[in-house]
Amino acid sequence: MFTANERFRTREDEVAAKVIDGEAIIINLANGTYYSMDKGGAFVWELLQQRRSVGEIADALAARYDVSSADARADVQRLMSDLLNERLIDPAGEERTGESAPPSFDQRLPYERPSLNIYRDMGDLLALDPPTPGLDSPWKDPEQTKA
Amino acid sequence: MDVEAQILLAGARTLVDEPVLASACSPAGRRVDWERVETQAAFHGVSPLLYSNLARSASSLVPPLVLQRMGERARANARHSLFLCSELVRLMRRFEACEIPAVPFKGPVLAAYAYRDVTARVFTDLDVFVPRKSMVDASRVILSQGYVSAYEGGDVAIERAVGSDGEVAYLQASHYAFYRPDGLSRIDLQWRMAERYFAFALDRKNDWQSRLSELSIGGCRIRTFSPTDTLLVLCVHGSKHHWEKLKWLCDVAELLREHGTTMDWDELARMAAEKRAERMVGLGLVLAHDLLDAAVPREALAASAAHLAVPALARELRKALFADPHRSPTKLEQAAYFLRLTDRWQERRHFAVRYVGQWIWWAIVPNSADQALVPLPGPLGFVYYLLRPLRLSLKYTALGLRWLRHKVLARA
Repeated sequence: MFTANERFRTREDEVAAKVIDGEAIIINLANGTYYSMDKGGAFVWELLQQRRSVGEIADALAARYDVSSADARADVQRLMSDLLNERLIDPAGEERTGESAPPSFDQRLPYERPSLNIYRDMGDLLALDPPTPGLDSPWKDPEQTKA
Repeated sequence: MDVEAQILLAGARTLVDEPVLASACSPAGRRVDWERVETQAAFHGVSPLLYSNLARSASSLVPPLVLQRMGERARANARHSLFLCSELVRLMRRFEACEIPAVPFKGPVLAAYAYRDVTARVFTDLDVFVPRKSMVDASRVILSQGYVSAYEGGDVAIERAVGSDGEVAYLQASHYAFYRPDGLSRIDLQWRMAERYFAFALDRKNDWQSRLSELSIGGCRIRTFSPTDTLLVLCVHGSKHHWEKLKWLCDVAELLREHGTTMDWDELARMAAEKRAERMVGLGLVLAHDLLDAAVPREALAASAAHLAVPALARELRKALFADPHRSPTKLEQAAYFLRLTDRWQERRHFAVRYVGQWIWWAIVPNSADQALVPLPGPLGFVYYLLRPLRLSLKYTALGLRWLRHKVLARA
C-alpha cells in the first residue's frame, strides 16, 4: 500500500515511451518487453512523468474521469504495483519537485479501469496495427533483387 | 506548388508556425485533396510529424476520418520505432562487449539526436558504421544475434573477405544487409557510406573517430557521428537518392535546428572538399533552406550556390519532389545525375570507370542464381563465367519481348 505523498519516477534510463492520442506505448529496453495503456492508464503515465504523488494522481483521475475518489485511489494503487513489478517506475521519495498545480477539467470522461497490457512477444504488439502501405516500404525480399 | 505540398512543407517540422500551417490547410479559393496529403505524407516519411502538428494546431481543418487514419499510422510508427530502438540497444551492447567500434547513425539515433523524440521520424532499418577492418567481426556479431544475411551466400562471402593473416582483404560490396527472419528488423552495416563509384569515403582518413558525439538511449551510452559528420552523411545520402523523400530534408533541417549554433561551418566546408562531397552538401543545404527554412548561414548558402551545378540541380529536384505520380529515374538518367554531383574531372573519371565497371562485373561474375540453375562440380566452376552472360541475355531478351507484346496488345 502506497502513501498519498509517495512519488515515483519513470525509469528513463531503461524505458522509452510515447503517449499518442491517449495511448501510452512503453518499452523496457533492458528486456524488450512492450506495454500499452490507454485512456486512464495513459493519463496516469503522463502524471507519473510529471512526478505527481500517488494522492495527486488519484485526485486528477477522479477529476478527469467519471469515477469515485475511492475507486480512483484503489485503481492507482493497483497500477503502481503493476508498474513497479514490471520495473517501469522507481520510488522517488516524497519530496515535492515544485511542479505546477494539478490539471483541472470542465468535463469528466467515461471511466474504464486502467490496465497495463503486456506484450512479451513483439509480433503480438506489432500485429495490432501493422505498417500501412504507403509508408517507407521495408527492404525487398533478397530473392526479388537477385539477377 | 500545389496546396497539398504546402501543407507537408508547413507541417513536417518539430517547430511549426501555426498560422502558416492553418493557412496552408484552408487556402482561399482552393480545395485540399486530403487523401493526397495522406498518401504524400506516407511516401515522404513525414506522417508522424505532420499528424502531431495537425492534431495540435489544425484539427478542425482536417476531415476527421483523415485525422483518425493518420493517428493510427502514427501509433503504428511509434511501436515500430520503439522496437527498433530496443533492437539497437541490444546490438550496441553486444558490439561493446566484443570491443567493436560500431557507430549507429540515422534511424533512432538521428531521431533522438535531432528531433529529441525517437518516434518523430519514420525509419525501417538500423544503420551501423564500422571501420573496414572491423566489418567481418561486426557481421559475425549480427549473425550471432539471430540475423541472417540479406543475400544468399552472404555469410560465406563475409568470411571469404578475411585473408590468411586474419585481416579483411577484399570487400566487393560497399555495405552488407542483414534481416531478422521474423521480418521485424533489418541492419545495414556500412564502411564507406557510398557506393564504390562515388569518390566520397567517410573513412578516408579515419579522423571521424576523434569527433564522435555521445547520447543516451535507454541507459545505453551510444556514440554517433558529430553534428558536422552527421550533416555530411545526410547530404551525401540524400543527394545519392535524388532527395526524393522529404524526410531526408527534414533530417537536415532538424539537425541544424538542434545543433546549428554549434556547427563548425568552416570545418564542414573543409571536410566536404576533402571528401569530394561539396556539391552534395551544397545541394542538401540549399534545398533544406529553401523548402524548410533550415538555419543555414548566408555564407554557406552563397558558397553552395557558387558551385555551378547546384542551383540548377536544386531547381530540378524541387520540381520532382512532389511530382505525382512519382517517377524513379532510369539508369541512364541516374548515371547522368551522378556525374553532375561530382566536383572535379578526376571524380568524374573515377565515377565513369567504376560505374561502367560494376555493370561489367555484374554481367560476368557468377552468383548463386547461376549455381542453382546448373550445379557444377568445383573444377568446372569456370564454366559459370560463360553461362552467366548467356543466361542474362536469354532472361532479358525474354523480358524485352514480353514488354513489347504488352505494348502491342495495349495499342490493339
